[in-house]
Amino acid sequence: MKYSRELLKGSTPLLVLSVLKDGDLYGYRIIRELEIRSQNAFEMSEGTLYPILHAFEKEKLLQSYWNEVDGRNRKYYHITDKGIKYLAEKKDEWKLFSANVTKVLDFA
Amino acid sequence: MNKKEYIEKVLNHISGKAQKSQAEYELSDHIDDRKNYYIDCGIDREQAEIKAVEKMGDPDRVGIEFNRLHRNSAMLFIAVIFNVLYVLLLLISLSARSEFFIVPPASLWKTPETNSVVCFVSTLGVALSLAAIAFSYKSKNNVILIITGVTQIISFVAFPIFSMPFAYTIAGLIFCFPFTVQQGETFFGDCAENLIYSTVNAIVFILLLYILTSFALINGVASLLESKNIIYLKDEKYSKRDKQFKRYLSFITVIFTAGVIALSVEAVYDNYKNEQIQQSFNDEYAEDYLKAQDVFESINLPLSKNESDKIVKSHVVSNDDLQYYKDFNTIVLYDNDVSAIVTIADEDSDGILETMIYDQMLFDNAYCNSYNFADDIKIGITIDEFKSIYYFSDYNTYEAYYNGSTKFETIELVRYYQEEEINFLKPKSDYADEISYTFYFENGVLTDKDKLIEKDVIIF
Repeated sequence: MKYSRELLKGSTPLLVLSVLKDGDLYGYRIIRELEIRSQNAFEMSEGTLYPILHAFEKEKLLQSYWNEVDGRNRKYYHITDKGIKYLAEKKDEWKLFSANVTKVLDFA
Repeated sequence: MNKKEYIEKVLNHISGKAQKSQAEYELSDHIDDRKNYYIDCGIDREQAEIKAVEKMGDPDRVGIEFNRLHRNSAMLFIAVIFNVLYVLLLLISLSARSEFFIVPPASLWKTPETNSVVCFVSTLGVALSLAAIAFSYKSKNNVILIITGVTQIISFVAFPIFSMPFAYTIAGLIFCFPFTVQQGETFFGDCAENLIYSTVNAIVFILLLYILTSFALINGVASLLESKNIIYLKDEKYSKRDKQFKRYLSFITVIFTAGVIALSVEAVYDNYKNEQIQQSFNDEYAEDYLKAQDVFESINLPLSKNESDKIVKSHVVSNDDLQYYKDFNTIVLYDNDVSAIVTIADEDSDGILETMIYDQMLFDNAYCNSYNFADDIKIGITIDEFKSIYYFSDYNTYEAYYNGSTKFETIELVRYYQEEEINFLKPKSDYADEISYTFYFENGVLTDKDKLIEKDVIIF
């Protein structure tokens, strides 16, 4: 299923952080992980991931480091304590928001 | 679109070098990974790359996001400083050039050296402006583009309005036209020529300046439009505009720079030419002038009739001159090719003789020596005597301003040049319509002659 861009734009940062919470990954692996976890539900423009990652890094929610794997230099992203805290806040916010949206939509 | 094209499009939007190389590496890596994934799924290499790139999405959007992230605040700062400096320099150079601006002392602004400085400052201003445009373009930052747009438009409005030709036209129309009616044919001819010259000159100059500065306007508007594009741009269209803007920018830069260089060269050449002319005048008339100067210095006022006659006899060379002397009590040193005239006359009918030296070629000296009240007024004169002489002179050319305390009083005396004097002085480079002196009285008496200070001459 294809979601509207606006919806994806709002939730992608949250999804990215939640994937990184379970371990350090580089860009392509983050996308793959999202695909696997969502069972290909999210068809995102993959290029837009990188500005998001860089923005998080600038805000110190993520840290990056270079690591050579199978002869290729990869830029890995690691979630910081600040990032974990931020994710938790956003997660709660999202849960509350979606619960309320559902409440309104299912109102009978 | 292949990988190379995609990355190029993204990088187009990014200003920083480090950001560029990092984004390039990550995006390229990502596309390779995705491509390999598709190959593993059984798609052929070429198709796999195309599909991988498609999956990346809109390159312009990614590029803009990147640039927004790494918007260079240093660049913004530099561009803002450049723009502000540009406007300041422009205003300084304009006020220095313009005869419209009365910046005391006006004579200070109007030397060849100042002119060169003004040329330099103007050129520097334009160079800074170009640098600001380059910066704003490079940084892809709409704030800078808006600032540049506004400053460019300011320069478009300010430059010709405050420029010299405009002031010349106004001065020509206001101060020249009345003489044409009052003074008869000679002055009419002279003045009409000047008027036409100054008007045509002004129109041509203003047109030229507007043509030149209209590029600043186009540039300003383009910068503003471009700033709008950066916010609302749409993929393909943007790339096309991007190229157009680049081409336009190079074009403007060349034209603008060429124009400024041409104007500067012209101004420098003008300066040089004027100096040459002045020099040749100086050389030609220096001897005559020195003779006149000797006579001038030998005259000690007050002068009795006998003494005056003696001076006249020793210097007057023709009967015409003698008649002239009788009529006006004036010594003419040379009748042919008159280059210097010394006069002793009660020019302002106040009962006190004035000595004057007119030099038709060396205006500056003539102006300095004529009507020098400071030489005529005696130490010890009381404030009441002073007022009775200078306040109510027949020539309505004085205006005295008085202010002070009981012990110290000051009188400001303004002497306005007569119309014929202005005409006489007009063909020279500078001329004044008034000259003022300040006199200090202690306990009602003029005590210290050194305190007579010749004040600024107002130039129009």
